[in-house]
Amino acid sequence: MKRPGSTLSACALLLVLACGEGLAAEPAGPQTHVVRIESMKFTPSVIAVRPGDTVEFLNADLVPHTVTERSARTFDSGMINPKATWKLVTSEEGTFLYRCIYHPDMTGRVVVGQIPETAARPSRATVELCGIP
Amino acid sequence: MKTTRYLALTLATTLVMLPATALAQPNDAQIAAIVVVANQVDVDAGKFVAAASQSSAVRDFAQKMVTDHTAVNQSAVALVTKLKVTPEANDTSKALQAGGDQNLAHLRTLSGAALDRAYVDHEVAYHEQVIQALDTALIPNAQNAELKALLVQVRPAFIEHLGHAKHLQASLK
Repeated sequence: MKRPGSTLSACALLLVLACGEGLAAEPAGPQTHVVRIESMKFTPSVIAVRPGDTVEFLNADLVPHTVTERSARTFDSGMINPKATWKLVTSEEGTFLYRCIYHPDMTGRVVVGQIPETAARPSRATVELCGIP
Repeated sequence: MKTTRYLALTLATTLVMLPATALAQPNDAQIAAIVVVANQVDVDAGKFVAAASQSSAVRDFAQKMVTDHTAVNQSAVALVTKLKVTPEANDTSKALQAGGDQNLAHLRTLSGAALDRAYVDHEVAYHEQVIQALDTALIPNAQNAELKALLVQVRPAFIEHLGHAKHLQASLK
């Protein structure tokens, strides 16, 4: 028979490990983040990354799109065909607004700098796994 | 002038009128044919207008129609090939083809602002009809899951096209 106490301890341990992982979330090196282009939207539409990180745009739509920086075309993917990807390697800090030049209502933002603390916290799913509300 | 405009709008709507009875319960092979023809007629009109219009805004829109509907057709053809479905011509696909041919023939008689207005009016009516067909006949009747998914996936692009066409239509008044 499984003792309730042992289940609780295991959950507590899992929670501690999850929290510890969150606190020590400083990445060792450049990370790759994925933005899906789907249903005529960029998802997520806002993404926070560190300088040196890569943002990979995956076109999961049936029509071509672009990822074009809005002010001075600091970056411009050119046509990204369906099922194709385009990678943006970030360098300088700042907020970069972009859109699809073919479908101008499709917009997004890449924020290069410090990632908000919340991004490093354990997910809600991890907490719920322990049965803690 | 208003009468001319009214006649042009009526013509644009008539050219994309789909036979309601034929759309009742198309099978997958018939849906495939409808999708391919619906995209192709818009590609054909777009190619002509992208070359003939004197308005950069209309040319850009027409080129977008060529690019997007060509891409959708490539995906559709690839899917039906994979599924070993042979598109089956039917009353709806034939009506779309006839309407597309008639529209193109009409556009070829026009130039300047009249061409732009006729094309854009038709694009508004065409996309409204196609979206309605997607919602009421094509998506509900598609049996194959991948075909249904493709129809669902293409809908947002058609909505965007309709919005763009309406915006353009308002600017041409």
